[in-house]
Amino acid sequence: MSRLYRPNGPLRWVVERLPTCKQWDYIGALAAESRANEVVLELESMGKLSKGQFLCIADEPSEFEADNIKACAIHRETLIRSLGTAPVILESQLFSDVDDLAMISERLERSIGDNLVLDITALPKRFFFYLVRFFRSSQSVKNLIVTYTLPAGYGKKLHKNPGGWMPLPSFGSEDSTSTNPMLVISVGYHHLKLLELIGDRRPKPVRLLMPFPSMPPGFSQNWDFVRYIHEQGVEFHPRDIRRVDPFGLSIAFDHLCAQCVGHEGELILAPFGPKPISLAMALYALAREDSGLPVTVGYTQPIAYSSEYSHGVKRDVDGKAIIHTYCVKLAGELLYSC
Amino acid sequence: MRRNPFTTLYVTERLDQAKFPALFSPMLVPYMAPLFEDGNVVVEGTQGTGKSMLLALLQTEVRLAYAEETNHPYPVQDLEMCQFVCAGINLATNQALRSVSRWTRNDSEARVELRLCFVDFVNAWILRDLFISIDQLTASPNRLWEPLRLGGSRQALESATIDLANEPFIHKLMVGDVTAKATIHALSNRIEGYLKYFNGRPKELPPEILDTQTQSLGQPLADAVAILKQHGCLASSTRVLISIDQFEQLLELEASLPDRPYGLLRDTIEQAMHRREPALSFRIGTRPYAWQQITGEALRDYHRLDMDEMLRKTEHGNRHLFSDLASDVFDRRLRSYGYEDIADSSEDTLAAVFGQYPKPATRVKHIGPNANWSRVISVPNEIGEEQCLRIREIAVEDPLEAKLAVAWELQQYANGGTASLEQTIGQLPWNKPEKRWWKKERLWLAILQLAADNRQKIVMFGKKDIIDLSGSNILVFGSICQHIWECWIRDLARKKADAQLTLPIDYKLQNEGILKASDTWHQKISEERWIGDTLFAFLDEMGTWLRGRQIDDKAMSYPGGNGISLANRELVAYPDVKRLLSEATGRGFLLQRKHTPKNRARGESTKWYLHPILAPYYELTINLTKEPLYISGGDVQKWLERAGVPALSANLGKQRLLPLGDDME
Repeated sequence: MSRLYRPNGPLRWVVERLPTCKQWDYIGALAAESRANEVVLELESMGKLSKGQFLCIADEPSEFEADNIKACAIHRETLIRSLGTAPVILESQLFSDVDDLAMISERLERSIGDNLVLDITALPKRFFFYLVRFFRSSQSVKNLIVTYTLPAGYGKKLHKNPGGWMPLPSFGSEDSTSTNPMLVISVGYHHLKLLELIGDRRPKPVRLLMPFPSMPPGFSQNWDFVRYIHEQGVEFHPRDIRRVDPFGLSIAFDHLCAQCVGHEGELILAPFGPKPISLAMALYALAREDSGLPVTVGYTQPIAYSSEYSHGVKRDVDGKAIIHTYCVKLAGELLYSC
Repeated sequence: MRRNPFTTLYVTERLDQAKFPALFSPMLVPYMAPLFEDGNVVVEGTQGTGKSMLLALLQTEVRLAYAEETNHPYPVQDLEMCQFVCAGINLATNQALRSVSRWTRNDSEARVELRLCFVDFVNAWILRDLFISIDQLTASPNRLWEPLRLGGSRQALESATIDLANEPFIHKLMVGDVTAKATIHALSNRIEGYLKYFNGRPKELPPEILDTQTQSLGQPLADAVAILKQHGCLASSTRVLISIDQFEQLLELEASLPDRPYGLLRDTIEQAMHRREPALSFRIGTRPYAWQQITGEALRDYHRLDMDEMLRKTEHGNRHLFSDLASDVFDRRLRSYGYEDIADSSEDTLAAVFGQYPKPATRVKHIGPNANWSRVISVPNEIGEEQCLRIREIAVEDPLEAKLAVAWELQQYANGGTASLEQTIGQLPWNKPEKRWWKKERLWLAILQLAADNRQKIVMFGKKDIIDLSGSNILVFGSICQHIWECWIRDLARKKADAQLTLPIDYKLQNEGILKASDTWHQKISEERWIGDTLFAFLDEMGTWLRGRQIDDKAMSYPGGNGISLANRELVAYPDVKRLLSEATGRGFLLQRKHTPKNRARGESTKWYLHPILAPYYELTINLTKEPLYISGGDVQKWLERAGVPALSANLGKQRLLPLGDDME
């Protein structure tokens, strides 16, 4: 039974309302983006940080490589200065397979306690989907909150050379007989090679989750995405485009539950939109798996991310970083289940 | 409400079986006889040439759909050629590619393990498909099973199944009754066992799979076919075809693995063909670049059908093959989507809907209906004042002739002379019979330059333009039709609801649709796996450069300047250039031809053209005649630098690139 109330809000607000959790372990990314460090620094400033562990994920070679390395080194220095100690860093590769991810997760788990903050701000989908799966079912983690920090803005060029449509590690279908699966697309800025999937599988029905409100230029890019896939013959009705708050994890999750209820065949989820909606897809896929229903979450992973993927950190009127925080598991109870 | 017959374009190759007979054009089937005969066949072709459609013709569901049809008979009627049962796998859609999910699991043995998983997964998938096919065929025996004398009774299948259940890799999965249905179920379990393993759950393959993994692709299928024939389930004369489509996916997968183990997976299929197992005939669908490096003894192991070559104008003595195919596809689409009245109205539906071909003067008229050409036309400074005035005078009457006058005069000037332009237009030098080729070859370029002078694009419409832009690619053709139809329907919707369909479709709507199609194909470049953005930047540099050269070539010395030629030996010195040109060609965005240069000292050369559908986007001419521009590897290297393409060859082991011949060695 899904919880009626799933706590979420700004990081400080959420953490202060969980007084029994004295200290939180932190897992996030050591990345080129400025916003990547905000959560751990805020936890530290609140005196709530127990142990921080950082994944440093190397992309494939690209023209972004040198700038990414330089930016990571700067952010590492910031962490040392602010935390007063060298951060625990785990080096990894963007295209790590499911066994690598299992090994990394187990290693991370060994050095954390009951309470975990998983910061997905700068973690690629290949990683955060797996980590959400792992820590959601981890026996040792009793309280799991997931955080996402907004940037001041996005760069023009976000990534490079996406690959073909493949399931995210551990999120492939385990059903070999279904045809015409249902498809839910979280609309983003780039359709990448989504059409490859649509052409190959002839999904029906197709539903779209459209971030709303979305400000220009993202707004027009979202609609370009919809126009393009429609022009390519993907059949959907205007009512199949559902507006969802880009940061409303709970609403997005409920939308998915409502739209997919009764569909017992294969479901394909395409997380191309805002990360909290991707998180909703991860959680819904896991809940659906728990019910024994087939589900695939796939993506067209680019080989590298731009060092200018985003810039700065979006702040509220008080100058505080805007960090969306979602409780996923409290006192061992899963808050997102069907 | 009017429907767009080309809306389902993207699934052209994967139509619903019921619609297949009405929409499939059999125009190419007479050239495809080996597909229906004994022996292995490799069907090669770039994206959109119709490989998968042809292979679909072998599928049981499609054949059964034909058997239901009265209006559209199966394209092959010869009883002997039809005596086959086909089973297969589409490597892109049937999850076989997920075999690499556990690549790093055990580094030292990873390759062996991965290969075994792939082989066993494919064997299980195809064997299940074979059982499903036989099950479907015997379920309604009067449709195909009995008329084609494919095999015996249903009981024969069940008795064969009992023998099959003793095969190690089936029997451990069998529980309960040994029936055909139970075997299909057991094979599904085996496949799903792999899918779970690919997800990392469980960490190890279950023993019932691990202990019975099949070692070579095709072997268990051959064993199964022998048992099925032994029991009379399949007639001894029934051929079993094994279709493996989208073979190129394996090459891309190999290129994405650490250390790029080229051949690791593709070899499994090559070896299966090399064994020349008499019970099986393989049908492989592939893009050309994935197959070219396979080291089989070609004529002995397989028959090669090259779709690109076949559809090219000069092949098989049939210069109209693609045009006929496109016309037939078009006609069938119209009839299937409620436009029978249009299809019935003319012998040449394509010409009836789009018109034939705009004359050059008509094209110029559409570029600038109200242009003051005398003022607009660009006349270079080298041309003297008197000649300039005469050219502008000609432009008032005929801007195209004025543009040719500019070129003619500049060519004379370069030779140290000057031309006489005083005659009437019909008497101007290039209008004399002996100069008719000079003029003909330069018409496209002249129109392009006029459009540029007037800050417009060339207007394209009519059957011939659409066929030329398609570049012998049926998917491109469908895409153009889709976009034009979309514009047309929208235009009709803007008018009264009962607006009459007037044909041909207005040229502006056709031109708008063509521009949209070109834009879409341009966008498709960036969708290519692992290299899309790099190719996009590279081809943009190339297109922009060619455009600049075509516009600046006021003397029209290079009317074929929409392509480039490089000496082959230069490519050795510029491996990145070679690689990018090869990648773009393999993916169908460039057309590559051998080139015999005027100057023999240049040595063997190769020429490349952007695919014609990209010409409207880059604003280039589309004729692929005459001499291309001779350029050096260094020139192209500069495009790469401007496009921000990092050194590829230096990082070869780390890049997800298709291999060149040298890499394979």
